[in-house]
Amino acid sequence: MRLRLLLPALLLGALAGCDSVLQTEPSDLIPSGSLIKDGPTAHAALVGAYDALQDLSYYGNDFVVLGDMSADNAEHVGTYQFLDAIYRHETRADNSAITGLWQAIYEAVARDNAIIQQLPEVTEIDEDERNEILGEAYFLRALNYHNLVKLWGDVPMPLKPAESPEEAAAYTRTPAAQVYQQILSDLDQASNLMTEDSQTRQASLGAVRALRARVDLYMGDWAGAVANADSVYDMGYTLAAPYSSLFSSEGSDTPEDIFRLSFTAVDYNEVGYYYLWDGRNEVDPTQSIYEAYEDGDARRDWSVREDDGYYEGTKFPTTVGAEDLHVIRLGEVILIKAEALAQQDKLEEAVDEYNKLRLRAGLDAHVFGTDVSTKDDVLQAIWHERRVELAFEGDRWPDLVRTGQAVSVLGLPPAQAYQTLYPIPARERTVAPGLTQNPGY
Amino acid sequence: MRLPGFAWKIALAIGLAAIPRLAAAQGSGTIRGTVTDSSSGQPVIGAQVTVTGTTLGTITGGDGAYTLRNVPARAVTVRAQRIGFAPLERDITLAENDTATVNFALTAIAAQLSEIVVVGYGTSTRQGVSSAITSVGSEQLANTPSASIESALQGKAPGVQVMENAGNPGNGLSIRVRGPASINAGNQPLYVVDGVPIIQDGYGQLGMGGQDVTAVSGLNPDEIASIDILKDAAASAIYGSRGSNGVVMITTKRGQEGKPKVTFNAYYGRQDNPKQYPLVNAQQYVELYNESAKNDGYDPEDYPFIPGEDDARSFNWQDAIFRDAPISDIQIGLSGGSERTKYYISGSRFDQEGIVIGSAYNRIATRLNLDFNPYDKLQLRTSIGLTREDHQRIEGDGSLDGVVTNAIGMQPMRPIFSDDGSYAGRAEGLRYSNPVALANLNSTSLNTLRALGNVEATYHFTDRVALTGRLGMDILGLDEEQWESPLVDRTYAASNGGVGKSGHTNVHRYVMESFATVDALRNDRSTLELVGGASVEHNDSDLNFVRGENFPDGFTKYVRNASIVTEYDGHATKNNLVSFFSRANYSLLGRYLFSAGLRADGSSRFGEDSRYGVFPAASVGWVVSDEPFAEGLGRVASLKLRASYGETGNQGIGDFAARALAGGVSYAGTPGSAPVSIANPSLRWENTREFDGGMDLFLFDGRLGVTADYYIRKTSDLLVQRPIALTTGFSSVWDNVGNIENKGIDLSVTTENFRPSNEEGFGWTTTLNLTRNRNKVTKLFGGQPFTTGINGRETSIVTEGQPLGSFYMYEFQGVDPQTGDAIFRDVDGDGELTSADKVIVGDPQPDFFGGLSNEFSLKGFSLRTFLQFSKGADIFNMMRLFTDDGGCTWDNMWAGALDRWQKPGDVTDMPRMSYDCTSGADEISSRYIEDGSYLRIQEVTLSYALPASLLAPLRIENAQIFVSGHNLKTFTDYSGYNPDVNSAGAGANIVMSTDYFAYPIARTFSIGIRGGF
Repeated sequence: MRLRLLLPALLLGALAGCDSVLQTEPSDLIPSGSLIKDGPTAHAALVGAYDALQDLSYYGNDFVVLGDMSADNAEHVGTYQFLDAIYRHETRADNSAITGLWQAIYEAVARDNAIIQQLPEVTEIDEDERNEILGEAYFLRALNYHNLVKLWGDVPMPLKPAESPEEAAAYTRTPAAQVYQQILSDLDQASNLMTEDSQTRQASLGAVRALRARVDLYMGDWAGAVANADSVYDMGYTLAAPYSSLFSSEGSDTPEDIFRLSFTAVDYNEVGYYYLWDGRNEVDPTQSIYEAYEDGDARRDWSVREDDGYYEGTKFPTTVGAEDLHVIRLGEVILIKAEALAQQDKLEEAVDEYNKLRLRAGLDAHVFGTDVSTKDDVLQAIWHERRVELAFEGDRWPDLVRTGQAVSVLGLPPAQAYQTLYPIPARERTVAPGLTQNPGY
Repeated sequence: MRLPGFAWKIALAIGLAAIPRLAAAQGSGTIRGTVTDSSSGQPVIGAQVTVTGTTLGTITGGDGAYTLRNVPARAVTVRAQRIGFAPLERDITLAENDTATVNFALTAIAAQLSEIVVVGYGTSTRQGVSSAITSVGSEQLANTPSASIESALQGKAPGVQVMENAGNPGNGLSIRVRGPASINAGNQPLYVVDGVPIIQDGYGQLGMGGQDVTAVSGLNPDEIASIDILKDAAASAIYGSRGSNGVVMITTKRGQEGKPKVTFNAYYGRQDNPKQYPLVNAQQYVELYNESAKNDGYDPEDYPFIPGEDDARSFNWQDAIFRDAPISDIQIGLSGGSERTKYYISGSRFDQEGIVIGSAYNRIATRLNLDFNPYDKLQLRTSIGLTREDHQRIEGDGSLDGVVTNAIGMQPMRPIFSDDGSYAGRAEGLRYSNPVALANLNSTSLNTLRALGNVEATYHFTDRVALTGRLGMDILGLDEEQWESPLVDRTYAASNGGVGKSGHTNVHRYVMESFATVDALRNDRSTLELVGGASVEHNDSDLNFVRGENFPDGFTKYVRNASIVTEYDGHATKNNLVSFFSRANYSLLGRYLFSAGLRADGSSRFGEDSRYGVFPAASVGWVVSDEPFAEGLGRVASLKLRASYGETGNQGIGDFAARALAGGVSYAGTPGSAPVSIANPSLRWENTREFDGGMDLFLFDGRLGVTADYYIRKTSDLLVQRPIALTTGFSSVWDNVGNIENKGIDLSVTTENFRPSNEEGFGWTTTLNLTRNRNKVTKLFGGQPFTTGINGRETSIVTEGQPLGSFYMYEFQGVDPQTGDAIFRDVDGDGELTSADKVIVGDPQPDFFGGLSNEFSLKGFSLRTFLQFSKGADIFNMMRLFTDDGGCTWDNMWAGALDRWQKPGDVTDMPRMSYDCTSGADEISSRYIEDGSYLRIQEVTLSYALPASLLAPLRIENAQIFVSGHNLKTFTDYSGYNPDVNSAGAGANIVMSTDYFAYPIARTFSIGIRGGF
């Protein structure tokens, strides 16, 4: 009887070849053990490092929105209590937006570190290509650490990928001053390795110098800031006109672009979605920012729409989120130079610098001695100019903290002054007990 | 050990030996036959067969057979009796030297003892089982007005907690067999249909906020003959690596020998929403919000509303989204067959509209089950079901486009329609998208097509050795389409020309298994049954997804008309499982039961070092009432004591969770790569060890039945996504860390209060189910607790010494009578409200739960009432985060907020209104924790069997009509729609009992008819 043979055969079939059956390979992922092997894989890893910046917790949304909402440019009007807590400076260590931002930046750092660690060992790659990729990775790490240090102060500073979760669990916070030294060192590396000077959706030498100028400003190295701003000027960037062309929904190129992040309808940011009334509308511009613009300021016309006492943030014009957001642009470099000059008491030169932006916005130039006279006048004018020029781009809060004005400008009660540094996420301190908390949290 | 039965037989033999000549001299014959159980047909072992008036007697052996020799050749009465069965006598006239065959089919005193129990790779009788298994028959599943079989199980099986989660038609339910035992690897039981483990998870790609679609809803309750739930590890260990959450064994209906028989079953019902969430009206709303501005020191001219103007009209938005909705089910079955061929064919259609506009579910199911014995030694069986489901879904909990969400959140003075009759929008002051427009203009459909079946061949080499081969497959395809209309104001779609989404998912499972069944021993004293076999299982799934925006006017839904594609996905994955299993059942005198099993599973999901797991099990049963020393007891009762121990596993993790992998990313149109996971090559099974001690007691001729079990389940090596430092670039790694313990009692008591004297008489049966489970997390990685929640709000904690998912937040201590501010416990005493002040404020798991059913019958009428209850579970009412926030969000306010503090000296537990959110009213705190205890009148059904005199002319054999009400009334202190809720959905493990605008559960009145001809 054939069936008499068939059934035992079925049983035997079931027993046979188990090990090969249990050896399955994923069909849409690859093992990540040795991701960087040659030129194409190194380039793919670099693309991964830029991709990390697009995270919705990072430049894709939260980092940008929190930069204004923590300050006086935007108010929380939506339903997320964790955003409301930040807006009201009642942030706690378990705030999910803060945790998400920390996570996103460190994920970006981890991708930079993997390139910086693995790429020098790779031989199957053209020397120039290796230098360029490595240089951009150093730039990105500098950018990421600067964003960390300006929001949290002292932070853990791994410079290579963690071998195991246990290694990272033992990290402690590196003092901010040391983080700044590392940022400078990374920027030096980038500057030495890179040759690219024209691309704007990835880092170029222009981006390295502009970021260096920004870091100098944060460190109070006025001369360095001026020198690096000048080195950016030398590369031929010019201000875009009109102002609105910087924020077109398609992200079109402008001569002012130094480094901006590419976003598309598929690879989108949510900043417009968070501001626009047809989107999530978690945040609206404040009355204070609306009134901070002088009448006739083209930047207000583009950035804020007033409707019956309510304000809609229209700087990023669509909920689709395909605008290419600026990480750093010439307008900011001009303001960096102006501020550094003013700090060095070169007041008239400083006014000349920021007037460039006033003129573009359709405003009259300030006349030194009439509109502004003292160093304090000039600094206040520059800070005001920063506020309106860079509004909703995420710079207001770090600026207020950097210049020590957060408490006074926002009118924070003394009991809330500690909120000028974000808390180290509580879940991070649970798994890495060596991390101390910022005071007050 | 004493072997009294054996001794008795020796005595009998000696007695017989003493009188041989005498008996032979009279002229004698032989009587032989078998004694079987009347309902199961299984042999009854150890039955005494005697010839009345003589000393002749014997005991049936392992095959139920007996032989009586030297019986006087005359008219005699033969009596068969066994404890637990009603004795039976037969009169025969025996001729000299003749051999007569007298078979007995004994009826069990307690019918429960003879029911067939499906145990995995075989069946047993209730009497022969020594582990904890609960059975639910089809009569208890019938006519529950719900798509899923799980709803019908609610409150009917002790030890099995069924949570509805939400009331949308076709919703996925959560089942916990003896409590949750896993943190991340899944807590749903394994579903096995006709011997084959099925696809059971949710595969829908479009998340609808806590309203999951699971593959279990595709099982049609009409086609199910019985459900057996393997509860303890000794029973479920035969499914090894997937047994730790219990196993639900589902058996579909099959044909019986006989003429073709048609059965029919149909009902129609109306559903409504039994309870509205109490909200304030426009006048109250304006009063509250103006008071909030006043409290925070605003000038009267800055108050947000003008009384008399802004509150001139008030609208009940809940009325606008709830409706009276029909539900219906019709099924026709055809069954019958010859000795060699039997068939069961069924077709059915279930159709349900949701009580919230825009939601519906229907299912068409067909089944063909064939049994074919081409010749005596070969049995062929097929069990094949085809199902098509159509879910019409609406956006659910916690979404800005949620229909119920927005109906609750909408300010009450805002109109539903504008003056020109169109849906009101921003122009009418709506702060959210109009829920009526959302439900009517948007659409989300999920259609499934499923083929679930198996083909099986059993070859009987001898009557003691059989080999079964089985091929099973489960093929599930899901098609999803979503359209977000640009016509709904205040939505993303409105400003982007509409959004269309399309997703397709295929899930396949193939199971090939074969096993041998051997009756190794079958004699007067003992039986030994052996089962051993192997199986290979292959699973794969793939999906694709595309989302487009900006459609030209008049075009909808299908992405080809979109001007841009904004999301896309394509993905495939697979896993394999190889298993070897064996079990031995040894029964001594039908009184001492021993069972032992061993399963080894190898899974491709785990690291190479730890791919195989071994899962042993053993159980013993002792039928105390069978002992001679307990003869007195044995006359009135059947008592069995059971004890078992087993080990089971859980492998409910991603297919490649142990691996370090990288995935594709893109930046500026350039492809790139980035790591997505961190490796753990030693990742292994989650392991559950369970001890169960139980008893089955049937007293007074079966009028009282008690089944009770005590269990301790200890789960170790929990599969956990252990949080790791984010500085690694990853948030977690899959690891085996931590322990969970569940301890509890399952109790089921059935009493036959009135036994009808005849078919027309009055009968009354009561069944009570009660379950008490204590869950505790006993160990975590480094003792580190972790918190989680839904929608970015942390509400729940996993911490040592506490139940899984305990609510963790600020402890509300009352309202300061002077300021009206909420007071929270300052745990660390620093005067500030910080995350250090969070404490455990509640437990989402019930202290006990169960059901109480009463069935009455008189003449043709029968009445069934079913109460279902749960005591002690806390609910986090997350709706109050918006409707009881002191006025932070402009959402409509819960009516309870009317008791707010208004002036110094007011003593209340409701904080003051605060325009600037400074009263603390919107803090996530124990203020939002409510007692979720409830008692629900789940069912009242009155049915009437139409008299035969009426049916006979119509050639209808039997027919019953019934009227039924379900979810008639819930007694609870909970303020939301329904305390049987969880907005985290069917897939949730940690966040339980959280109500985030969940879809309410319908109340249903239905009428129906069932019968056969």
